[in-house]
Amino acid sequence: MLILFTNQVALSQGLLDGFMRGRGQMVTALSYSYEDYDTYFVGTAKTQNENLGTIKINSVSIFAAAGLTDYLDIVVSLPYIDTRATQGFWSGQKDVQDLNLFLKGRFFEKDFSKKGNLSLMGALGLITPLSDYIADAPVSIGNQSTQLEGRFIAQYSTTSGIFAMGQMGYSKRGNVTMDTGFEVSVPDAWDFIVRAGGSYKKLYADAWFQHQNSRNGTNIGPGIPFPGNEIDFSRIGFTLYHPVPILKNFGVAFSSGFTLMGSNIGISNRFSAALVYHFSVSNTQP
Amino acid sequence: MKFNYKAIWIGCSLPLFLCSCEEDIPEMVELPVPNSIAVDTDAGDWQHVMEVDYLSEISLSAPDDVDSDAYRAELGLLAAIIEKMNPEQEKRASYWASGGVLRWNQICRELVAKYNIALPPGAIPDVKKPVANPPFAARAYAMLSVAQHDALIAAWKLKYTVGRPAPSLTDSRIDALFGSTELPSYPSEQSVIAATSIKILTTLFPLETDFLYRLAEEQVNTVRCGGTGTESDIEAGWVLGDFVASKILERASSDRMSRASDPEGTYISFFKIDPSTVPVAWISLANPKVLPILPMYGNIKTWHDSLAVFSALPPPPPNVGTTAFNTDITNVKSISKNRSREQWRIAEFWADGGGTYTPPGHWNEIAEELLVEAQWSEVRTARAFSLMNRAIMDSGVLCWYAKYKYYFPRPSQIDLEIKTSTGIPNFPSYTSGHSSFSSAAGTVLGYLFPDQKEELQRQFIEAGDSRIFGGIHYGFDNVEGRNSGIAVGKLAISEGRNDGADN
Repeated sequence: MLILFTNQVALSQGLLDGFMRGRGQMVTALSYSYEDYDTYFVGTAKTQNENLGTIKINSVSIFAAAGLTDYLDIVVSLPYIDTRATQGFWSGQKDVQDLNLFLKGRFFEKDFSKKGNLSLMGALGLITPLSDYIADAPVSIGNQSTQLEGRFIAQYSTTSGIFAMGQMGYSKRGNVTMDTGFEVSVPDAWDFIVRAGGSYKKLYADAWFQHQNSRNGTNIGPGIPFPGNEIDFSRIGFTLYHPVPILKNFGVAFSSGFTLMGSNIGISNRFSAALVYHFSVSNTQP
Repeated sequence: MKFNYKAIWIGCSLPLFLCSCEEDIPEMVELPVPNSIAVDTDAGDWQHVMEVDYLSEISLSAPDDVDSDAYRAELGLLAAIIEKMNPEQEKRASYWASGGVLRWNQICRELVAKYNIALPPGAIPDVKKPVANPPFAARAYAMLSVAQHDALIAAWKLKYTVGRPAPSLTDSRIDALFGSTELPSYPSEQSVIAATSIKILTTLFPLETDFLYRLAEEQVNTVRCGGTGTESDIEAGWVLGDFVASKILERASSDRMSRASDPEGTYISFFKIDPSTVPVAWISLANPKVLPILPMYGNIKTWHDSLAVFSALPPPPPNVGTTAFNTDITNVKSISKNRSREQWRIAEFWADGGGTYTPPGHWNEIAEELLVEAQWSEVRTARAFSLMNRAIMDSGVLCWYAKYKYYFPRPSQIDLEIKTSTGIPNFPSYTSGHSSFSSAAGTVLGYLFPDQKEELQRQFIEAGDSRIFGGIHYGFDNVEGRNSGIAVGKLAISEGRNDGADN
């Protein structure tokens, strides 16, 4: 599988942002995204394959985040992915992909009176496949690896709404057993994200950059299982969110992501649209 | 730093250490050292594969008598080597004691996997860098197995003619590392195996010469460390093994394999491929289009009598558009649209495509598992591989002949909507190579290991079915491939029944 955005979609879309939801606050979203590429990196060499053509990926995801307390959030998402190649004869794939489940806690906060706020957060996450989708094929929706992830987030938000965030993560990736019977080691990876933008009552916009680096793995090649590939990438993206008029608590979000460089990955562009709903589950005390 | 280097050196598998080539060969599977091996005293009278009287043609100097000064000096030398043996040498001795024939079969498989990479379009073939596709691999495994088979029969004949006892039985200073044996020591069978194997493999894979020679030298060293032979045992074994391999190579140089790739496309006129004989012709489905693989492989020399082999030539397939064809392609399409996870798993398990041992290699791996458990002598093990691999290759020759005679299109060529779970090989459809190779192999192994016959049959049937699950073959490709594979397997069985080995 030439790794899709969707494995990382939640991260680059703000699955883990630098904001805490607040106790009793929930946000849910239903999103649709489209991603494609016709050029991919074998190792670091750009390649096009006429026996694949363009790889197109359509996916629908559900997302939810809830503030358990003012300093502890739970975040979950799950995509359904449909991928196919426009040329050649490789079978397409479509299935429920991986469950992403994160606990995010703010362990430090400092207010700079009237100017801004610095927050430091840590998160622990589990990513695990929910179906037995095919992992070892040039057209596939994921790598079947169960992953444990630790993340660290630092965000400075000004009172005017502008914010800047830095995030780092390390993903410990479990082995995958191939249909041939061989067990393949999936390289662990670390990544970092920088994001800046503005968060206002009627608008949210951001731009971000992400870089992932995997530990030693294989390059795409004949007889080489895809899940063992060493996948690196550098990506940028933009997000825009606006509340929907009339409908209270609803909003729409548009996001995009562009792969700039990498190894063993498609040079893909991704566009998503989401319907977002905020609500509160706390009881208001009289 | 020195200590660290040594630790890594010891810890690494052999090929990673010795390999001077660019890509590493993956770690080789652990094999157990057998507890006891039957000696097969009459193996020297078993029937050879090649009609050559090796021992008459070769000139070996007469071995010294066990009481001679010369031999006593050799024993002294051996005792000294054993005394100075270090743990690393002991470790390598146990690597080879698991079976010389088994180890070289593994090595051949790893080389096939390493060279099993298709040439990029437009690349010029390099005879030093062969493409180890399934037909090439079948021939490679067969050549190696036949060389070992014949060399070991000759070695056994010489062993029991000369009757030199193992050094540990003659000289109390010498401890056989893996227990004393009744097998006479002249010539050393490990030395025979080493010499015959590298001669074959360095011819097939010239760029691996250094790597292979180091392996062979190491195997010969284990004769010394293992206390199973002296220098004259080793020398005689090496000359014999080398000589036998040269005879197999002589045959190979004129078996028409060199004309199999047929870049000029003479196969079109050879097989009389035109609209009257082939109503719907095969077209390459690769992008960009490439020449089909080894069109004249069906014309190379078979091991078994070619008339007997070709009496099992598959009948013509049903023409495109007939009822039988339409029923079959409908089934292929329906599977491709609703492929279950289990069907995909089976297709993957048996695919054995680029970068792997190939289907013939997969069956050598299955044979290995059975042979490890059987703990047969080297000569009987070599015979098993030889019977199986010759059947695999002859079945492949027959299959490839059918492929280019009938020149039948793949399902996806007729119906573009048939999507596959495995790569579509770049050669015609009828009959299935997987079915042919696997049925021949499984039939022969089922004869050698009767209590495994049912399980082996289940496997070779599944191997053939896997290509339908993959969406790249019709049911009739599979059935006829299987029938001809079984027929070729039976030729090997009737040889096996009569070659004197009593199994």
